[in-house]
Amino acid sequence: MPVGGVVSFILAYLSVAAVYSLLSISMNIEYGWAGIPNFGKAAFIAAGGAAAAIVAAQLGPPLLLGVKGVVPGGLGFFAKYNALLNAYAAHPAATWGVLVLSCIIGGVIAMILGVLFTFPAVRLREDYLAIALLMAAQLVWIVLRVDKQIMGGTFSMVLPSPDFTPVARLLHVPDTVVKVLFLWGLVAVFLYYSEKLMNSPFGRKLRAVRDDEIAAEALGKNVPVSRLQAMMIGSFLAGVAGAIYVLVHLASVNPDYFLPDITFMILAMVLVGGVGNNWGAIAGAMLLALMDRVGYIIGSRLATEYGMLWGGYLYYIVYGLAIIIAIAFRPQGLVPEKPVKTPAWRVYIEETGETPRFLKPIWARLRSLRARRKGKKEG
Amino acid sequence: MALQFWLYSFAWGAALALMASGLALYYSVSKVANFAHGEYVSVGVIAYLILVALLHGFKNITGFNIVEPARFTVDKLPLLLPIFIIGGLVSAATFAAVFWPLMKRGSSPLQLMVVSIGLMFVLRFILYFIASAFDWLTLPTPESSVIATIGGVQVTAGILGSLLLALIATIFVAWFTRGTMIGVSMRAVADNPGLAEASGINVFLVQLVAWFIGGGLAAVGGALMFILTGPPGERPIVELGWMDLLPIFAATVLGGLGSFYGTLVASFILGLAFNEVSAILLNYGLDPSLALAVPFGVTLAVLLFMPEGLAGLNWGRLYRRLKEVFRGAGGWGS
Repeated sequence: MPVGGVVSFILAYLSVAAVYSLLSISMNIEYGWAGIPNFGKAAFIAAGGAAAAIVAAQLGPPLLLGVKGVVPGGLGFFAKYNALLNAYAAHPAATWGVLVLSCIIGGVIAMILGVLFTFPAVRLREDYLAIALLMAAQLVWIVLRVDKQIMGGTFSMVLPSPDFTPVARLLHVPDTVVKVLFLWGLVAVFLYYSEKLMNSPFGRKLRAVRDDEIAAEALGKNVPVSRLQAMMIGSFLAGVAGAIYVLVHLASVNPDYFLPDITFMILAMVLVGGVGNNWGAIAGAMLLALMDRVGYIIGSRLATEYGMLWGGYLYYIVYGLAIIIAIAFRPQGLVPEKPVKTPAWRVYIEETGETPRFLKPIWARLRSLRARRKGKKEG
Repeated sequence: MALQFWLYSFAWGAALALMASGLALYYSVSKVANFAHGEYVSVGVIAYLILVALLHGFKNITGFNIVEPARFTVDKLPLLLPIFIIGGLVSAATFAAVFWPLMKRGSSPLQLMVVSIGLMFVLRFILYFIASAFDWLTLPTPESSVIATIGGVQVTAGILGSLLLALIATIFVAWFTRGTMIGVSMRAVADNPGLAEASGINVFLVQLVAWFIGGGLAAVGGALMFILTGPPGERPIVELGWMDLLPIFAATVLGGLGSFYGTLVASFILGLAFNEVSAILLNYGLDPSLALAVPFGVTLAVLLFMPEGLAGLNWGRLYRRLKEVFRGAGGWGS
């Protein structure tokens, strides 16, 4: 393979890995911390994708370009939409506006859907929740395929991907490098937010609910509400990540990007990387994205050159075996879960300004021990 | 042709009942929400095509050439027995190789559920491998011969097969769980696994048998569903099981997760509702695939209002209550 091929492979891989990292961080909040089997992740990613399509064709033109938007699905849609795309290409700032708007709208839609789909089964056992979410995702997929006014049915709709050229020209590097840097910057933001949130009393509450529902309830934690909160945060992040996925990474949108397969791919990444550990989620995403890319290259070559059609489905066995091996041999993942960084007593002191009662004798004893040791040293 | 439509919906419900009651059967003893169940269904489809190919000596059967030999006739009914055994073996093998070791190690239900997803992917890849080796990824619906026409209603071999098999399966399971030692042990394990084990029941063997029967029923139901409805939309035939997985889960949830008879009843109800809604959607010029909203809505409603499903309802109380209501309204009694 020539050098250029290797470089472009690495850049493409890094960009895929960044997008998958975003998604697996959001999945980890639900599966890793709150113990919710979110088998409907695809629906929340699709919310971001649908928001991107709506903003690009219908909301964006009047708000950002000052021209009338077009509704997909109608006659002559593609001709009008191509004119819009040309207008976007002339205004790099407008493409960034599309990205920001889609992230916000997608996140909010995903959050609402997350609460709606989780609510019926939030009090029940996790298998019911998984079934309900899986069905919801499948239904969202079918609605996106059937309703041509969202993203034009089953045709792939090209999206105005954010324009990196001005920045790239400034730094004297190719566009793709800036794109990869931008995506990894977003991963850093997600990581920072998730680390902050999960190393807080809220994160500890989620873990308590996951590990022992009854004990958490006995301690006065509202289990259904905690689950709904986790779903809201996870779905919001998934909606944002979905908008980024279609706008920045793929630059087009099609309902078939949101098949349930993507849910399980991300689940596999979380399982392999580390359940309940953000760094683990990123590690899993990077590892499986590499296997996915290599598998894709081998598989498509098998399919096109040797006529072995199953090559196109090689990713099933990659992810399937990854899930089974991870659960069977290393259920905690490559990077295991770490204790929460804020001990409860520290939060208690911060909030009330006094030492919790259970700590007083312990500290008194520690103080006396320390004093005795000091006395021994001096004496 | 309302009667024809009802018959078709009933047969559809019967095929769904076969698949869903298989899941209910082993869920009751192992408590595993197995998402790989859809793949056992697809195993039935591929097994049917391979058996048909075997009958023709594997000559001239690749691609669309299989469609004519795969025409379902009454003399192909015995083929369902080997399909049952193949599906059962696949299911029992996955239980023994993956689920049982994990259950023995004390994995949580959540982990078992997730591992079933991994299994689903692996099985699906194997099915894709076989189907693409024969070039069977996309096939039209195999025809089904008309046996009799009663009052303008055509009874096809596929419809007869589904209804007959659902009946046989019900009788078989009823006899099995009451008349045989292992079936009685199965009910004991379903009620209280700890107590059953303490009284000397081989829990592994009981579960293995339950998974064998469950997977076998799924495969038979899958083959019949393929004959009735053909491939799932425009997706490859291998994904038939996946596309039917959601109605299957809806039927098991409505039947009260793990109840065999509840699932049977729920499947017929869902079959009628699903096909009726598809027809209505088609009438209004909408896409019939939106009918998936029926199982989804049913599941959500069941989860919200009666999580125990049909099996958890107190039928006697419901009957008395209804009687009171009707008597009050001047109905039945007066």
